[in-house]
Parts: sequence; structure tokens; C-alpha cells
Amino acid sequence: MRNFLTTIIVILFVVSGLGRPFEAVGMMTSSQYTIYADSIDTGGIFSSGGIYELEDTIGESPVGSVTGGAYEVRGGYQYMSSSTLSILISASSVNLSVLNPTVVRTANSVVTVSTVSDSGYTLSIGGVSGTSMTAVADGAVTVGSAEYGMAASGADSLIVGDVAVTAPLSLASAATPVLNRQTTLTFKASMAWNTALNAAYTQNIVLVASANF
Amino acid sequence: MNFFCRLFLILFWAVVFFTPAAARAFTIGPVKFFITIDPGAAGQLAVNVKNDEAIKKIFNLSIIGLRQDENGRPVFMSDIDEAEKWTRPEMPEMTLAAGAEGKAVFNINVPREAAPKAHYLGLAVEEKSIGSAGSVGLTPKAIAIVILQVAGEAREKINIEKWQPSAGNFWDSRRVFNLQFFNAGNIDAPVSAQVRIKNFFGREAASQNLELGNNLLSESRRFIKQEIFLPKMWPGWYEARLQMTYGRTDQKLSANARILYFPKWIILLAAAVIILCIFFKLRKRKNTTPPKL
Repeated sequence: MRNFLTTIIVILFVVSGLGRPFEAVGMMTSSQYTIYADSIDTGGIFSSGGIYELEDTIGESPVGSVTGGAYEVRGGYQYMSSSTLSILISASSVNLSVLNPTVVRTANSVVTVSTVSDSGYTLSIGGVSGTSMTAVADGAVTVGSAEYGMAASGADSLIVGDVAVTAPLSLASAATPVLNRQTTLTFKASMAWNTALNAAYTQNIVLVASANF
Repeated sequence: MNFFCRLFLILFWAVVFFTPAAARAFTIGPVKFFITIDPGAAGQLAVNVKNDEAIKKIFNLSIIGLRQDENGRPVFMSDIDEAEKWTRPEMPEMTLAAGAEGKAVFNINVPREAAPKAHYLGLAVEEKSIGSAGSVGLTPKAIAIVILQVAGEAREKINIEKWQPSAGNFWDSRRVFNLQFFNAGNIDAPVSAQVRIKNFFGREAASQNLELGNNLLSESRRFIKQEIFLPKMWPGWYEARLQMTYGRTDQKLSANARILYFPKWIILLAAAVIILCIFFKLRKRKNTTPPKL
């Protein structure tokens, strides 16, 4: 019985090492070069050294003769980074409910970004459509004023105070790879005492994540 | 095998199989492409898209123009680069089942008359979502960056538009300088710079490297606020000489700014000397004034 249990444990241990799903881009290494993307239409070899990393698509560098402030760029060269980028939004729709002149209504959504790109990422507003109230202009959505804006918080947040929801607008950025880096977006609205009570606003915001250059 | 060894293996196996993966909506990769194409030639780029959620998702595929802001971060806008018209996704949208992965292919056709130049694009993958009335809808979009160079002559040229100290006290040993420069060439360029502080006689009193960030894209502008630390120096006018190196051809560019430095101890010393002079002057006048009869 003891030997049977031991055998089962060892088998499970071995299988876990082979079956654990992992993110991978087909990568082979040797002492001289690393092939990052052998499935993309390049068929070339990635070589590194010096200042620039080149993938020789046709066996030649993309840079030709160099004189003064000019050099020749040759066609037919392609390089891609092997990194990935993930984006998750906790709530795809936030509702600020019925506004009240005595309180600022808020609603949150958390954006989570992960990337192994060595230049990090930037999260920004890429597009805004629909209808909204008067945008905040003084850095704070305050009680009794007809204003609408947003704030961002998190380790990489670039936003200070309450800002108007416009595009393009950088919200968060990091210069290094990140894992599950969260930025909380807080949407805020308030109404004035003389605001019409039967108005309704609907807005759609596109949140863009990309690697940095 | 003893009890503790078995326990370790059981726990290890449990952690490996039952550790929850981080929740993610969708993933794209690669996130950066660099491609050079001859005028009149074509190219193809493919972005892998993975639906990380437990339900089927539809993704819109599109092309968008790309610029840099003054801090070097990517800014995406439509209709800012002619290369947006050269690039098309093979399909406008793709449907992925839960956990499935697909390849979004983008074709590039460069016109024969295209001039040698670097173009900057984004290959966009946007999750199709439907908002509800009276709410704020949030749609995630991930973009892979493309640097597309049309083959030909690449010209590197950067102009320094501003190099000046910010307003401040002349006794401060920390001075903030404003540097603004623009890439007027047709290709992106790496940049680096150093500041040398020289005295009236041309001797170097201090030097400091500046952090200028990542490569500056063509037709992009960068603004840097840099703090320069002045060592203990004699009072007087100094010259802050900026030496910038840019491009793959290592072009050099320089600019000068003048700063006045008066350390606090000199001011106090001067004030003390003035007070003493006044004191002795008054005392002398008192001693030489004849008494009134």
C-alpha cells in the first residue's frame, strides 16, 4: 500500500512538470543566437550584439551605407519582440445612478495589465463617444456643481486629481515588465440645484493598452 | 519514502495544479514589430490573440496611427499617418471561443511612389462590447506597435528648440533646466546628452548626464525638465553647455545657456562688509566733526 501511494505521488509529480500550461512563444536557444518567432513569416535568425539587435530576414542588415547624418535603409527586414500584453477590465459598465445635488456620485472599475515587454506599458483612453455632462475643469468634481470627470489611482497612475474624460489621455504607465498591475478608474458626477431632472447620459470609453517604444 | 517527503510532494502537486491563473480578458503578442519595406512592395504581420475568458468573444481588428507624446509614451490617433491607408486587416473581426487563440493577419502594401520615411502604426484588437443606456461603458483594446520604414535614404536631424534655466534663486545650487527638442528627420533616433558647467575662464566646474528617455520618433517633440546640481563654486556667470548626441550616425548638437551663481555665504559676507564700512564711515565722520561752540 505504501509503495503504491509513493508511485502515484511520483507519477503526479512528473506529470505536473509536463502538463502545467504555460505561456510560451516557440523559442529555441543556442550559445550563439536565439530564434524568437519561427512561425512568423521571416524564417530568419535573431542575432544579438553591439547596440542593435537584428533579425536577418534575408541575411543582410537593414542599414546600408552611412555618411554624415544619413544612411540607407534596405527593405525586406522584419523583427518582432516575443513579449505579450494582457488587459482586463473588472466592470465593463459603470453606473453613476441617479444624481443628487448634495453628494458626488462615484463608480469604479479596475483595469489590470500584464506584459513582459522590457519597455513596459501605457494605459490610455483611446476614444470617447456618447453624451456626458459638463467636464470638470478645476481639478475636482464638487458637490452642487454640474460636473463630470474621472480619477485614476494605482502604482503607475499618471493622473492627479479629477480630470475630464477625453481622448487621447494617458492614465498609467510603467517602464518595466509588470504582472497584474492594477489601475482603478473612478468616475465622478455631481449636479447643480438647477439641473434638469430628466436628463440621461450614456458614454462609451475605449481603454487602450500597449507596450512602450 | 517517509511521511514528510510524501507530504511535500502532495503539497507541491496541489500548488502546481490548483494555483489559479491571474484573471485576464485577452492577450496579444507580439507587442512590437519593426519592418522595412521597399516602395511598391508588400508585407504581412500577424498578431496572436488569445481569449482568456470563459465565454466566446468577438474582436474588432483595425489600424490606427501612432505618435509620441512629450514624455515618449505612445499616443494613438486615426488619420495621422498615410501608412494607415496602406495597411489592412485580412478580416475586420475575429471570433474566439473561451480560451481559444487565433491569429490576426494584417497586410501592408506600400505604394510605389512612397518616399523613404519611418511610419508608426498600431495594430488594434478591440473587444466588441455593448454598453447600456444611462451608464459609462468601458471597452478594452490592446495595440501592437509597428515601426514601418520605407526603404531609401534615412536622414537624421534633431533641432534643439529650448535650452534654458527655469526662473529661480541665483544662490540655489540645484538649477532646473528646460530642454525641448524636435526630430525633424524622417526616421526615429536614439538621443543622449550631457551638460557641462564652465566658468568665466572656460574651465569645467561640473558635468552631468541627462536622462532623455527612449528613441525620439520622426516628427515628434520631447520636453525634459532636468535638475542640474552645481558643486561649490565661486560666484559669477557660468555657462551651461548642452552636448547632445543623436541618431545611429552619432550626430552632435550643442546649445548654451548662462546662469548667475551667488552662494549665500558670499551674500552674507558682502552684507557684513557693507555694514562694517558704513559703521566705520559714520564713526570717522563723528570723530572729525568739529564741536559746536
